[in-house]
Amino acid sequence: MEDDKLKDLFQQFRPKLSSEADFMARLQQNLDMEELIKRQASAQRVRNRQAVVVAALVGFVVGFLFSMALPYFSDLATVFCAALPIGATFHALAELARVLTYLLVGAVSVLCAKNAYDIMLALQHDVVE
Amino acid sequence: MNREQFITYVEATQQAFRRFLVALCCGDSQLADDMAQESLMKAYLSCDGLKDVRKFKSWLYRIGYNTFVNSRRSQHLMVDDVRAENVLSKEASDDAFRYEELYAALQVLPDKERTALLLFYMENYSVKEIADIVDAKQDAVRQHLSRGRAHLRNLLKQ
Repeated sequence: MEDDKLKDLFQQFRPKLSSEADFMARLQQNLDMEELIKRQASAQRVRNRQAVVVAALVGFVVGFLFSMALPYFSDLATVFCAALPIGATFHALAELARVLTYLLVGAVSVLCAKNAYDIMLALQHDVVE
Repeated sequence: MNREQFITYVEATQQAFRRFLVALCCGDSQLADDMAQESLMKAYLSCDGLKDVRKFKSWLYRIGYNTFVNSRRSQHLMVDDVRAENVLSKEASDDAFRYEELYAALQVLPDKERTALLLFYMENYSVKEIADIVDAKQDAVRQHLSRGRAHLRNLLKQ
């Protein structure tokens, strides 16, 4: 019996709600915004991916070109070290010349790749705006 | 589920869903509307994960309940203040006046008891369905219902 009273109470509960049209219009507006954000996020992901690909290519090409020129750089480094006043330290440096050259090539490639990534993103940003 | 289908399902369920949230928010229809919008956005974003569209309504109620619980957790003090203001400011409103007693009683009930009662009596969900919605065991839901009934009867008698 008591249970029926509670049931009736809640079944007859009809609070005044805001306009259904307004509520649905607000929902549609929120969905539009959500889809816009999703589209923009998706486009941004594509742009990032493109920039990464370009950066990797640039890094690879720069690294390849510098590697091709490596013998020339190594000779230059050896000549440079030999031309310096004689000293045990400089001889040791000459031994390390090859390693240092590799490191330098690597650093230049990374730097170029990073710059290419930044430039690509900046260019895409300008295009979007 | 595409957007048109989602809107169709929402149109069919939104009134009952909003009524449930109004009762859950103890008459604060503004807060309930905000919560309904938030729940529907969450539902839209995850509707691809809904395998059985026949369960759309109970799935939506589950999202609504979780949104309510999260909102209570994050803004516990603020919600209480806002609710108190709303109860006062709506005294003049016919609707608030009509259900003033019920809202006051629901406000005293713990969230779990209130939710179980509303789902059981307003939406006619079974204990099992309520357990799915609130992510609790059936025994726990039975207990919430039993305690909630007793509390509500006492409060309404007073």
